[in-house]
Amino acid sequence: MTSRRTLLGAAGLAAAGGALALSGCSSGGGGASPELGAMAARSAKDSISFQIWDAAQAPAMQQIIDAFHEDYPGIEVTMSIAAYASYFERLRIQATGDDLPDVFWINGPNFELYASHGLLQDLSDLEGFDPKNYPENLVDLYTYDAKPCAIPKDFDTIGLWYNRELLHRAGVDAPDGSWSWQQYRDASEQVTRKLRSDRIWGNPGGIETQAYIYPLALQAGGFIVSEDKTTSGYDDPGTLEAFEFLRGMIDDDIAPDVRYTTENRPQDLFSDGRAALMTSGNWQAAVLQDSVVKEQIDAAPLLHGTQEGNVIHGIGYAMSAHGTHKPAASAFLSFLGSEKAARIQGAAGAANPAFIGTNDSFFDALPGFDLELFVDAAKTALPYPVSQNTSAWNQLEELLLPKIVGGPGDVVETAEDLADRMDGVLADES
Amino acid sequence: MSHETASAAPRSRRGGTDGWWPLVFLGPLLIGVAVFYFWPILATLINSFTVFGPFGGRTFNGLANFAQLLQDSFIPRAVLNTLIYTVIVLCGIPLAVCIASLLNQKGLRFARLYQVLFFLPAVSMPVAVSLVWRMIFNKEFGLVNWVLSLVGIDGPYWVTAPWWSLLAVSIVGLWSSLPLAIIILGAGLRGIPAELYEAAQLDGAGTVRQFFSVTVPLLTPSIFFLSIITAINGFQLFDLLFAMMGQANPAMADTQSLVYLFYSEAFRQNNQGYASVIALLILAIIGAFTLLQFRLQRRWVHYE
Repeated sequence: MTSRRTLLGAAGLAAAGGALALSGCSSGGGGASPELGAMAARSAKDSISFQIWDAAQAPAMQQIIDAFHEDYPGIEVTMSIAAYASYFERLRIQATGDDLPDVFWINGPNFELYASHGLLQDLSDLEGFDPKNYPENLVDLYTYDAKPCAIPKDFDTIGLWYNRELLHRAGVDAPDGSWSWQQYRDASEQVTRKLRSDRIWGNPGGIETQAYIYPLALQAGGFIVSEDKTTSGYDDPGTLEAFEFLRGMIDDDIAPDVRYTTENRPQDLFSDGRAALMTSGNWQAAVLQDSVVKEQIDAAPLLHGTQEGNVIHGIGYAMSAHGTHKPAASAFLSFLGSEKAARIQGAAGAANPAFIGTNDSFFDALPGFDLELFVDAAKTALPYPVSQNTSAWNQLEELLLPKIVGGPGDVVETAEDLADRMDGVLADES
Repeated sequence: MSHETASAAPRSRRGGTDGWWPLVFLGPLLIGVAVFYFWPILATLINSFTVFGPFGGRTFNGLANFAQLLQDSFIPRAVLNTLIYTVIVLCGIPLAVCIASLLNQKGLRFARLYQVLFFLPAVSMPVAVSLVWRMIFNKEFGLVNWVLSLVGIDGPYWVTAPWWSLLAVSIVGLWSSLPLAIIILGAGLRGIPAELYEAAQLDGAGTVRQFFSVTVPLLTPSIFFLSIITAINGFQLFDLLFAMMGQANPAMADTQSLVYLFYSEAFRQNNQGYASVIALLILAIIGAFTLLQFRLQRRWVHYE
């Protein structure tokens, strides 16, 4: 069994290996000094840019900016929102043109690319920033060459959301947190068979990687990318077992076809009361809070496979290493990482804040759901699979996972095609 | 003697001070063409022999990108898809000829209204258009399958099944290429002298005969021009496909066009070098197809 420790240890080794070639997240060439320097004084006057990708979280971010403005009335923060679908294309173009925003959101899949090219500020010396305030696996996700290069903003893990009423109508007991794959399949089958005439599914299927495929692949003993980040795990027997499981439910008409879920997203099926079970993250809480099924749903711990498998991911706040407003950006970043900002974010119900001890602000904002289990899951979850050029193989996943899970074609053959192509991308990284 | 002076005069003008004046006026245009047309082509050619760093910086890697193109199993399907799409969109031209000549009929009531209706696709945002069509083609709630269900047909997954999705995108492509075609053909139609129709009528030709013997032959220059630009636009299929299919579509791997492949290599996978090779392939295909059309035009295009 692969424990989180060994995986993280390997990640650390890989990072250290990379460090021989490129030393650290903030010492790339060109632009301003990589030194962080002193933080702006309360009376400082400056204006900085801040870039995010989630419009739903913009109000919470604006509240944080306003609170920061009270402490630093002379520093203007201009927030811009880019759609997630094009956010990282835009960021890459900004980086190529040496025009990164002063402070911006980053995620796991893209972190290493930017950190290894020295584009992210080393935050070791940032005033008011203490890595101990955040879950260790998230701090590790945003550490490159032993230097923290982003502050964890929030975190998400995966659980099993269920619709009490639909399960009851089909005569299935609500999940108690000990469900095996078979129990999940049986419950799905029973709901689908009983409620088919109302166009209700047991589970909404789909090909969500973080919420559905990754955890199941890990639970079957598979992997997505090897610990040394040189090979794809898509042709691993464990991963293939997960694919066969998912494909089997579609083939037996227990879960909807991938063609169907492309037109009707799984989360929409669930929040419209047209699916009884859904494996997904705590980010769903804010969405479900406003849904018609709000009163009927709750969450339980995720399924259990031959081994435990859950993934943790969270957004990070990063600073451009070559920015020209570092004192002001430091002040803002330090505030973003503070308990106060975490509580604003949690109270807005935007996301479960990463700052340890502030979960209750998020729980209070979204009453009626058992969100504690997502925090428990964070203690053992594996980090979200990434490598240096993650977006390249994410695109291959997007192209080929629908065919693997939904057909047409052979599961193993298509999975091997994906693994081959992904191996090619990984080989280009070194 | 007179012959000599006649030919000497232009020669002396070329050598004289007049010679560079045209260049002064053409200069801004030529600079624009060089910067925005020739430089990108040259840069693409250079890039095709290189591999890019994620944030700029290139290293030479010889013919490796070209070798990769030959091995890439996505390429043949993308070429086929692009060709099929282009051919279907080209089929819109005969349709446009019919519509344009109907609109051009004398005494047609509400002619302006029809013109506006047929021109609407040209002034709508491609992405908005795609999203609306995506709804129209929805398997469960879409208009198309509802109509089909009235006659007892269980419609397919239009945008998420291979081949069907290509057909759906092609239909929308054809629909949105009609306005320009109708405008150009309408202008061509108004250029046909009325005497020809009168003469044909005196010879006893009916409406249909007039259409095929007068209208179509005299429209061939316009049709030829249209077929060139429609084919070029067809080979550049991207936005419709991107917006109508959406991401993580099971049919995407089988419906990708060459430009979509170019986009994913250049901007998603960050392989600008390899993407440049795909761009060159697109350039070669468009060049070859256009050349072929110019060769064939002698057989069917009638210039007065």
